[in-house]
Amino acid sequence: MVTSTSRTEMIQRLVRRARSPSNRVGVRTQRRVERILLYLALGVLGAIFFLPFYWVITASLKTNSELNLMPPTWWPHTITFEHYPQAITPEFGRYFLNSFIYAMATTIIVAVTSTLLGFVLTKFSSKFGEIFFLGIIASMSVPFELYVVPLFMLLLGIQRGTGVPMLNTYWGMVFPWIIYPFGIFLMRQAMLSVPNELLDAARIDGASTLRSFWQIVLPLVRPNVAALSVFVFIWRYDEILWPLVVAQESDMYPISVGLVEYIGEYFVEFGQFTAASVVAILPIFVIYILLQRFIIQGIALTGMKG
Amino acid sequence: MRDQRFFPRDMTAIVVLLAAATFFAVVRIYPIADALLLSLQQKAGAQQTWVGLENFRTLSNDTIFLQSIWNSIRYTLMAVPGVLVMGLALALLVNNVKNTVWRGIFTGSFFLAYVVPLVAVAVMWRYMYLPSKMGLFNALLGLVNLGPIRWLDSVQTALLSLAIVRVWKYAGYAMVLFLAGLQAIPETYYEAAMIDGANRWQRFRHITLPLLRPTTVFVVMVSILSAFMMFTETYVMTGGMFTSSVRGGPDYSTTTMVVNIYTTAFERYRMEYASAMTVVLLLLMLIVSIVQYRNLRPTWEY
Repeated sequence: MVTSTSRTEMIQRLVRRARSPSNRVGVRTQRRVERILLYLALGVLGAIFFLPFYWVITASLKTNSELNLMPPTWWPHTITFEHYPQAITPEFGRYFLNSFIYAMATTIIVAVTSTLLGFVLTKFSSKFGEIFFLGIIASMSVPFELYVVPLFMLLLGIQRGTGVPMLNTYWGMVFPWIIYPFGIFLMRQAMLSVPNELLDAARIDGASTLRSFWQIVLPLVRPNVAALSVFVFIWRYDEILWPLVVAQESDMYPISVGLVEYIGEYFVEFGQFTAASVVAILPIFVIYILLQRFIIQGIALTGMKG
Repeated sequence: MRDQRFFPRDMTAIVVLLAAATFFAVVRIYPIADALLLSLQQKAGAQQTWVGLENFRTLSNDTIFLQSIWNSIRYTLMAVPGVLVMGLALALLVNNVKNTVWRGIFTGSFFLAYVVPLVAVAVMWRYMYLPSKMGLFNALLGLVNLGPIRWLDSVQTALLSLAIVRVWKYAGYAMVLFLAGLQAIPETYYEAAMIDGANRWQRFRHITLPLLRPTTVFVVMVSILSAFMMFTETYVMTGGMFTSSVRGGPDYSTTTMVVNIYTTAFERYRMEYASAMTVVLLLLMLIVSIVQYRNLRPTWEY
């Protein structure tokens, strides 16, 4: 449908027509109506998406008698914070600590091994490295859920064979994440964009390999390492299936397992139930508020999904 | 390829690679091989015996296992279109917001659900799904004289209720990917179409949708993989308190494949049988990947 008239000419004609006095008011009102409708639609959708948070946060602030009203009240008539100290018991604190240890240790290990392997895979020539990377790519398409039973058997086997405790330990939980294919893939991609000329210059100046890695490569890929770390932390904090399998005593439960077991066992009051889930969300919520733009960009660029 | 590498053969690098490959073999290759071997065995007292395909024969007559496959498929079919449509709708709306501050606020609030821990989210939704009029949803239905619905307590609605949680949680994730896809479409295409007199629907149908295809393919693939592996929602939201049914219920209607594997292995301690299930799931995943690769791969480009 390209006509013989040139495009600039057509645009100019359109612009002129749009700007003509007869059209101006109509277009402007139409634009305004459209904008109001757009914001209205987004506002309503936003309210719907926020509703679960509103509901649970307000419920955690209601008194017990109010919580048992039928139908429920839409906002707390009397605000009370009594459920929070009830929810945050020593056991609950222990779950929190376990979650942080598990998520933090995994994050550090993944960041170190992925960065190191990304460097080795991109800057050293070796046939072996290429084969290894193909294996990494292939294993990325196997979901972790499939590994749960055989990995449990593996931990059990190591424990029986060597006497080193694996089940019910932090070490056992972190164990499968020492080599994290997705992290290696991501860091390899990042290192590919580090120019060899920089390494060349460093070598001429007499820098060792380790020093080039530390002082030249690492500062350049720091944003990628940070993105990977934030996501690994958030995902491992949220994880339930693997810790559920490894942690066998309640003192090793992370918050994800603890929340489910704890509410099932002790919490009969809705106030404690909702306060506990608000507290469990809080650390991730704080991270999100601080790093929102960074996190969204990371997802948009890599499509990461835990 | 090779000449791009900077450092020549280096002992340290080889040692690092060897160590990594060893660990990779231990945590990612050996377990799959072990699952395959274990699926061909059975426990007889303290002894492991080889039984060939016996476990798979039992599986093919195991009604709960067959239902778990069907549940995983049903759940995927319910959740993925919802995530896709809702994510795309949100992206199209947010993409029209030109004010950067508001754009950030909307993007951030729709994305919030994706970041918060799924376990806490499931706990929240469980509270909203209470079967009596105490639950938020039944209270809302009560306002228009409907319900109450026994959301998680009825065979008809339980799995759907879990799928709704997923749509709510992952729509923001799909939205962010679609937004990135939308921004990659050059504005000139729309200008050209407007000159040709294409209306809004035609522009969406003939420019936006085809050019978003790579993004859509990615979102569909990731969503199918993750929905098919659903475990957490069932584990947190069914059984236990507030309900008469057991976990994975009512009447096995929320027992997905992963839930079934978990209960078989860690509640009934039948590792060999659970391994056989894992092998079946692995094969199913393989088929899904191949089909996706064949059918969803973009066949043409602009």
